[in-house]
Amino acid sequence: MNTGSLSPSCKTLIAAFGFLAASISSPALAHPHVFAEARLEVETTIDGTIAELRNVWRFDEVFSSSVVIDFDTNNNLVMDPDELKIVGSIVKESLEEFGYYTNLSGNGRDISVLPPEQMIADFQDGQLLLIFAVKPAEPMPLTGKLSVGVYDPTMYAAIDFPTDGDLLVTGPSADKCETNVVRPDPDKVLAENQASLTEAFFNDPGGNDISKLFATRIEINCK
Amino acid sequence: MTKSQRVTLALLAFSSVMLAVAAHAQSPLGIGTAEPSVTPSGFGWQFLAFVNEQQQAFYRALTGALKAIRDDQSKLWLLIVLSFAYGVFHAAGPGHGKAVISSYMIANEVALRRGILLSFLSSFLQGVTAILVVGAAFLLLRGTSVSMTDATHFMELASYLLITLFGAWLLWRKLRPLRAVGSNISITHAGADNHHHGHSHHHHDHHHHDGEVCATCGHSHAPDPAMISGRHFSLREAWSAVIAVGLRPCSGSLLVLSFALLNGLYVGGILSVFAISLGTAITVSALATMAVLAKDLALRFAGSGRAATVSMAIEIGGALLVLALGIVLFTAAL
Repeated sequence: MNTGSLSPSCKTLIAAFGFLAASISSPALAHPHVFAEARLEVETTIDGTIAELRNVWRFDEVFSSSVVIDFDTNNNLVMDPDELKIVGSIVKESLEEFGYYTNLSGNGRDISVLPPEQMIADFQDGQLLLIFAVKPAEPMPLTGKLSVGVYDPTMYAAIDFPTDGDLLVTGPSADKCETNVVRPDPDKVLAENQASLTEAFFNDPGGNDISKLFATRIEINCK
Repeated sequence: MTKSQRVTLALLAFSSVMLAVAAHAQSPLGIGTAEPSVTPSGFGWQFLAFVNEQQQAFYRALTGALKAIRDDQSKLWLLIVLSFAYGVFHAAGPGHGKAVISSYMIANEVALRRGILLSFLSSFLQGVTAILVVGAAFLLLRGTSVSMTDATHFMELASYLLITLFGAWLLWRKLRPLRAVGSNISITHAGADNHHHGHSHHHHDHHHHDGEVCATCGHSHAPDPAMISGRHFSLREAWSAVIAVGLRPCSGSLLVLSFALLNGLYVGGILSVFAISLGTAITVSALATMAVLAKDLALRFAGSGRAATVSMAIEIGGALLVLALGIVLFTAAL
């Protein structure tokens, strides 16, 4: 069909439908209802590789109360150890598909992570806590430029690192590299990537590839 | 191909392109309910990015106020104001309510005032559903194998199924007069149509039913729009739209209520949910009004000659949009 030959009325019509379609939809911009304060420790080994990425996520009280209503099977309004165990195993299983929200790269190459051995769920002061460690799928020596970020590509949960001190390198080889916490400004990212983002939405409607542009990350520069 | 067929075809193609989407419906964490987010191409995303930022900010402020009234009940007014603002922005973002109501209004000659009434009814029903779901989860379901998330998921599926059926029914009703006229513009096989339809050789094919006025004989094969557009406001149909939309409670309301219940903030929780509904209703009304005005504008541009065809195409497009949205959301939520 030659769209150039469309009449003005047809174009108006298409614009009207475009608006309607846009109003029901957005490029992976469903806003999060779940907020977690996070801490990330990049644990190193004595021989200068990344051992594991240790995460602690403390969820907001409002979301946490919905977890109580869902998982408090014995009706005592307290999350008991067996109830928390169920929460942990469900999250562990579900997050595998989303790579545990981890964006890990070594010298420009994306590296996936292995599922954690354990996803510990705890409940403190009305807040759900998740504690787990993931290992890189392949050995990652501390050379060149490495980067680790944590971000939910689906925007279901907002993983926030309250201070730059909440992303850090730990362990025997922690002193080998310099670190720098990067917090991308969403407006800037959108402005700088307008063309490629629009294309990315067509190629990858889920937006999994573009999410890392927005992720708070720690950059690790090694000699 | 005649002009009318080209316009119709363009519209059908366009609606289906806009709805070639991916939808996330399940929570990636596996716990909690996810707001269904439909994710098509990047049309208008900059505006939506702004809306997104606002609703995030208001949701955070809203949950902050909720925690504040736990200690100081006098902050209740702040909670209500923030809930209202959250509702306004929440409804401007992605969601099924405004799409169904707007499309329904486009597909029908619904008076604006009635459309606004529909928006309010469906938004308040969403609030009532949220209260019923959380109330039932708290009072009845705890300790059973059915969780609040399960209950919400069930309501969600019911809502999307109803939207699908509603869309199918709207579409069927729009297409029926086309077939009744016996016109050789057949929407159902317009896409596969290769043979040429002449303009004026098929006069003998027209079956004129009682009361039909074939004002367009010899010019266009489109039927009189008066026969397609349901000019009579059907109460049953309107309630179908309201219920289809209202069965799916919004995640924000569910979370606010959960927290309110656990902390004994019954009045605050319920007022907050209805303030969210009020805000949502205002935005949905505004969007539905804009959709109808856009349709009128398109008809005016089309001129009297083609208004009938364009009107028919818009209405079929509106019905298709409801149907496709229902299918996309339902399959994603399964």
